[in-house]
Amino acid sequence: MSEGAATLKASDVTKRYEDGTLALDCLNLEVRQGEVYCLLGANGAGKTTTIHLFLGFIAPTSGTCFIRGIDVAREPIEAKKHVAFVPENVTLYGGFTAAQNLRFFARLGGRERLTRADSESLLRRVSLQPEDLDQRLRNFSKGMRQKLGIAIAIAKDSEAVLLDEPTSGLDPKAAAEFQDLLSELRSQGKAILMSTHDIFRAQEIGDRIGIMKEGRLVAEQSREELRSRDLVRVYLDFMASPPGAETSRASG
Amino acid sequence: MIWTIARKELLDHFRSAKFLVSVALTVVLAAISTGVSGQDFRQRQQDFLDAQREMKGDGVEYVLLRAPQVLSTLINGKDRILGNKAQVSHLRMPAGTTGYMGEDWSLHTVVVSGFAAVDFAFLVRVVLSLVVLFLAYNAVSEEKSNGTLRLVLANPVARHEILVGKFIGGIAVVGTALLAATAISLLLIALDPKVALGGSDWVRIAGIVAFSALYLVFFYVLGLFVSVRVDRPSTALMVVLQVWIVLVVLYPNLATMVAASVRPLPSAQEIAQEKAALFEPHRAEFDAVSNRFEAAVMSNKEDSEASQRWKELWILQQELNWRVDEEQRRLQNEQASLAKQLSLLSPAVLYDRVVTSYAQTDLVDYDRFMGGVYRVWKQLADRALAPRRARGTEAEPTLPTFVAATTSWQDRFVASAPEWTILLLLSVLLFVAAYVAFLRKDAR
Repeated sequence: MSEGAATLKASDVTKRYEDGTLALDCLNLEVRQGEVYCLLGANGAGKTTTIHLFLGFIAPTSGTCFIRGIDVAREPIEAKKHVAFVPENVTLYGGFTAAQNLRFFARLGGRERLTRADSESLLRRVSLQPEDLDQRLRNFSKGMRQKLGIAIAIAKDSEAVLLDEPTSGLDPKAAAEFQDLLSELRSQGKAILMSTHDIFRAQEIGDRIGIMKEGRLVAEQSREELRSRDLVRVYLDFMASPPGAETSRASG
Repeated sequence: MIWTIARKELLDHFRSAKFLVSVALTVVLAAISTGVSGQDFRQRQQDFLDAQREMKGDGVEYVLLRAPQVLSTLINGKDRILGNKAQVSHLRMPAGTTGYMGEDWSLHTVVVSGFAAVDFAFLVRVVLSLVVLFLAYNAVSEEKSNGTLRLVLANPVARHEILVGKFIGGIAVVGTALLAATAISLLLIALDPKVALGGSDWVRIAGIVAFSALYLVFFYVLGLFVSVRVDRPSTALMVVLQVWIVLVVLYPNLATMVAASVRPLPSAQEIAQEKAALFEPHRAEFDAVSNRFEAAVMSNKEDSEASQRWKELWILQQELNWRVDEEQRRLQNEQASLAKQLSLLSPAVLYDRVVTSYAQTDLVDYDRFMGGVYRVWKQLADRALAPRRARGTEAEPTLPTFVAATTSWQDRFVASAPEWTILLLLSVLLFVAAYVAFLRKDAR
């Protein structure tokens, strides 16, 4: 399959909502195995729309999203076997314990058996305490919920991980731990697409960084390219330029 | 996958305060309502037995008694308001029954009763249907608004599996509440030594519970549909409450009001006038015969011809009155059937109809009872009109001291097929609508 090279691939994807808003304009994007791709951009630039299209929450107006070569719109169930998702605000079932939430989502993700030991080790990986397993989710802080959301994504052990501003609301220590976790996932060969507002963290962790503006990917910078350039500078330049003036790929 | 979701729903509900409070409320209400209805039934049963013992026919006047229906302990229906006694002699064919324990003429003109009685039917029709909506209205809307729906949909789960899973889980919860209410009611009835349930009564009870289940399934699906269509749980709650008020309160009452104005019933005065008008051609003769008869009595003579003619005319008047009363009942039934047609899409009315039919607390047996009363009267009248000499040698005809009209449960079950079909169809349609809406739902 020609799309096989990239784990996540958006091909000429346009999304226009029913109210006429053009949320995404002919997006082309690829995330390969063992790569962290960070999407930067102002609110409403199309970052979340991109992620939602990959998850089949909404259907593209034109173009195709592929996960491991599988067309998401055509075979959503098959495609979603290979992707895990961490939203900006992880809300789980408040009446259930962490262990029950983990087990439920692991089952949905196709993992029938999740032992107590599995759950404990998952919690340790995201810096939660094994005792937290028996806590009801409604007693969890936002940071703890976010970590459990990541644990759920790890439990799925999928080839691709989509993260929608996952560190928003995390304290600096937790955010740093999260970054380590992301590196670990990368070293396991996962393709990671993350939308974020945190330019500095993006620069630290991202193998490639895409800058979005008004539904278009206006720049794409690799880690090598950014060695010689300051990402903040690049970002602000693109944000300041009038719409349509930018080139679709900045060559550095 | 469906079972994973159904199990989660079930656990989620069982842990919720909402569910626990609902079940507790249901059980308490079931206990109170069955207790009150049971008490009422025992009194009426006693009244019936006493009357049966004391009022044996004396060859002239007969008291015909309607036995109280044992299942009125669950479904009050019209069993009480229709009264239980009809006093018959050849000179008196009553228009209807008299009420219980010295109550005035029964309210048999009230064809479509309001929802005043708090019985098992009320519990299901009003309380549980509301509980079910409270359980269902946020099934999807809450998951959508707080974001868990996105997390669920990020997995290889088909949307129909989510909806069906939620449906199964929700129905299991609703079933638990219904069974709790049924169990407590039946326990109270079974423990009551004065209430004897026969084999067919259990079949009828099973029918009542089954239709109650379908009724609640309808409301669960309704809640699910609103939950899919409306994203904000608070808005969804408002919508289901309004729909509930329309379906359970406004629509049935509106249908009754419309039926009453389209097919108005004659007033008591008009009925009396009609009766008088019908007898008018015989009025002059009747008055003359009455005078002759009276004069003969006053002068201590016997005018057998006048007496016979007076009896004939008097009985004719009873017969004519009965025709007017029967016509009145026919008009009532017509009005009721119009109300029935108008409220064809009201699950509450369908429910009321089916359960009162199964419990035999509707009008069907009442009409049959009054038919029986008429036949007894007819026998008495024929005997009174027969020539004296022929009568003297004959033995007293045996007349029933009471008439207990019942329809078999098989007939009742067959007759309820349209209601089952309509409610089932409505539920299926709503589920399909919810399903289609959920497949198209923007899951962001």
